[in-house]
Amino acid sequence: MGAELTRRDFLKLCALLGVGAVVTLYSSDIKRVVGQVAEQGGGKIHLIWLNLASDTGCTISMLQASNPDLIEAVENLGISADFWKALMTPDYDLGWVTAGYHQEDLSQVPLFNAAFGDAPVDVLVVEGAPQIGTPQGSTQGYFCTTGKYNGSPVTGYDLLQKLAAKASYVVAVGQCSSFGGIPAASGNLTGAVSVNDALKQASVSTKHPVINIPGCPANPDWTLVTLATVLQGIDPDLDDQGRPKAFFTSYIHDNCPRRDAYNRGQMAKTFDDPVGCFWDLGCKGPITQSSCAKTKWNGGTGFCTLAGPMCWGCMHPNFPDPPTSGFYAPVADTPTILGVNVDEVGEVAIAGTAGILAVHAIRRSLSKKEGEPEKERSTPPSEPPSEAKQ
Amino acid sequence: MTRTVIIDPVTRIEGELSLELSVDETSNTVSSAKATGTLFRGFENIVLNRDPRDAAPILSAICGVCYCDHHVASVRAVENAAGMTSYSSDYSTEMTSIPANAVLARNLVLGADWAYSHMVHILALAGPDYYLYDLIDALKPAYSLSGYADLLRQFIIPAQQYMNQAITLWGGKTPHPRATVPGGNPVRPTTEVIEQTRAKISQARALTDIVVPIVWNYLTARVGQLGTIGHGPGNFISMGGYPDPTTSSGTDNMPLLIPRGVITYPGTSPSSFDPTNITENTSLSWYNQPQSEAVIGETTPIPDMSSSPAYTWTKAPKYNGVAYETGALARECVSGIYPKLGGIIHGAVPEVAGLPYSPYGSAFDRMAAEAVELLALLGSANTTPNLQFLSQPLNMSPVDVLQGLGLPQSGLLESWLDGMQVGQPSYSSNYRNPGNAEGMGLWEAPRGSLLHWIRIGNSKVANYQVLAPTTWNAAPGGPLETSLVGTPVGQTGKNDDFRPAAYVVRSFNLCMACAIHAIDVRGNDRYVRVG
Repeated sequence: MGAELTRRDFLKLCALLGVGAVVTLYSSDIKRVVGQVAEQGGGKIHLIWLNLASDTGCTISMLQASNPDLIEAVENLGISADFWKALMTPDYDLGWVTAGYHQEDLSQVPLFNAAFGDAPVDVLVVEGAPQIGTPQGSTQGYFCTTGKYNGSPVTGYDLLQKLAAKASYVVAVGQCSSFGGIPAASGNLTGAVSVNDALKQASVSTKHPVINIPGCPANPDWTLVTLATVLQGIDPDLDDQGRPKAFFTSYIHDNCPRRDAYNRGQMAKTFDDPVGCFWDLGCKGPITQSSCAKTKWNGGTGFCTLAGPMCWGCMHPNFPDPPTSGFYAPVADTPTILGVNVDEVGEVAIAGTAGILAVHAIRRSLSKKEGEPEKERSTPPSEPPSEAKQ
Repeated sequence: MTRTVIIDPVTRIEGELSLELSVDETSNTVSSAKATGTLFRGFENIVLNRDPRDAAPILSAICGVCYCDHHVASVRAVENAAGMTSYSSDYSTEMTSIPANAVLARNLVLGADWAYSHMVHILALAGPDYYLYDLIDALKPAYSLSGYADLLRQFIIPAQQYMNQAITLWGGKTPHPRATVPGGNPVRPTTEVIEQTRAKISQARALTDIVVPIVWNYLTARVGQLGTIGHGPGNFISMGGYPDPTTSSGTDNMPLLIPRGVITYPGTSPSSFDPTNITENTSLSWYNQPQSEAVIGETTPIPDMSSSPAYTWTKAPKYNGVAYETGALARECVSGIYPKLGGIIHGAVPEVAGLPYSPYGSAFDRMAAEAVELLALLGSANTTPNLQFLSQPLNMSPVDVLQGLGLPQSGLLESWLDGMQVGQPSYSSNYRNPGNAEGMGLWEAPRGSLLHWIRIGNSKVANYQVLAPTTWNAAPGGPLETSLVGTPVGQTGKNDDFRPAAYVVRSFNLCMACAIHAIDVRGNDRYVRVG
């Protein structure tokens, strides 16, 4: 395939075809563009993977990428992962020593050479939440330090500022870096915030808007496509939360394999219901924007509502705080899907598929009032309403 | 004369660790070591005042590597508090009201989680220290391999992916499958999902059958070095796991495949485990805390870095007042599997010592114990008698080893699938919020003993404590620091001088995020409260 990818279409195509297909079909384009970038940058795309307040789950998630897998992607995209603490694959030696020993010589410490020296940084990936709080009796940011420089511990917050200002692109991979996630949840003691909020706090501006790929963890295939996109020199089309629209526009509920059950008003009463919709048991699919149901996880093996029981809202900006929790409490009966407020449905004329959705939402709420799931199974919609959307 | 060497950050482990080694320049060995955990997140405070069931989906993110274990341990703590699961008085067996299928599904998911975690540790995290066990040269005749990238792509990444895909069939996705809920594991076992899982196991086994014997022979050829470094305290703890609901008493009195117990040096036989013997010391940790034993109980979270001589966010858990090592080696010593393997080897090559190679544990013993678990979980179809010890032939294949250990040739993962009853329930909706209660979830995670403890008050989480494997191992004064003492350091002035130290550090399969999940603990309760 030689067709040249347009800036606008790349991510859309990825969402449609899947990462692997796009990287395969357009590999010559990608190589060409990456080659141009590499020429300007001295041969390789220099990537720093910075861990802040995280559990390394997004790194492990990257190992689950399929078609292409992580290694293929790194090779195809010409990436040099100059620092990736958990993996440190490129050196193929005592990664720990190259990372931290002989600290008087920055060139032996790739992370510090990137942050404080003159090593280039093309892409900064941040896994984990920056912590801007101050431990008692200490210094701001000391909840997370990585290495020592000039005799003092280097805070994750400081590394983020230095690297983000330098990088061509900053990609926040996972819920913690995108939105603060669990470390920033109600009750946190460390001042954990999103990458965007931390950079704002520090008055650091980035060359391009920070790209957020939320999720606990981030889906590895979406992450690789987004990296492929920026390495082509394309600014992905982002929504007002900084998320690539290609992956975070539709709601999980729209494409859920249990959607037909919802449309029939067949609501699960127990978690082992193999068919019914888990809305009443607390499923957060109706309020969570993501492509989980479309692309699935782990090489297409499954995803949360397919295996059961339900979506936990791990890509919702507020996860794990309300409205994603209480996780077992049903979301409010006013679905944001298609912008339709169920309460107003009777009064508003709704055309086409939105009407189908609304009718079933009403049915569901009616049946709920009777304390019984809707038994009627007539007139299931012939196609999922979301497909006609937009 | 001593000089100080700081290695910070330590890479190819999970999380943030800084090491300070004092090197004796006369003997050229490490004379003391300080391990500093440098990331604090404070998870237990985050789950306070929430629905008890909401703790598990949050606490699974304590660790992005052993996510299944934290999730299930939390669910088990809540089930224990709700009276759905209970422990016998000596903690040797369990009773539960959740269906047998759910017990088996959890065993399967957690076993697959162990297997993938061990693969990643042995091959991708520790592997580069060992020049990848010369795997590339060994495999080259049969496979097209020119470097590490090829090895990753053809063996390491697929093998661990098959295990993650097996978990996904029962949990939705990885990392962080959040499917298990109080009452069971809602995925109903069908013939289809069981066969899909079997296929994943078989695909992973095909790869480990090739790789594991090569790794084993590489390590055992170097026992002379690896067995003499990394000696810990010689105290081993296992909090047990994998209850078996397929015996005649069903779920009323389930024996544990991995027993609970402790071995205290110089003893070699296990005594029973009692969680009330656990205390936590914070005198060297960055918490505002009276300089006394702090333990699970009431919490007052005060991270405080001003307290001298504290140097780490990791607390120091103790059992009967002393440090214990935990992990694959510890639980295999408690279960007797590892010494049994030593007997087999000793029988085959009478002139060599058995296992554990050192009664204190060693870099070799920890790596070998993980390899044995990988074999036990996945089983083997490899009948080629190529296994060696100290480069001497054992005339044994992986299948022979499994038979000698009394383990199923098709592996434990398949044995749990075999026990499932298609058409029977996997979930029971009998969970009720107990209002006010306490509960404990004991489990063995890939890296060792894991304890989740919850106090429910007014139907909300009133207190929550997690005691994770690496908290034991990387504690101030704990097994990691102890085992580094005496490690030889080279004199070339190059990175390679510290390769033996790297062997020791990575043999613990450290997970710093797990180790420091916690907030300060203070108050009246000195000991673990048992619900």
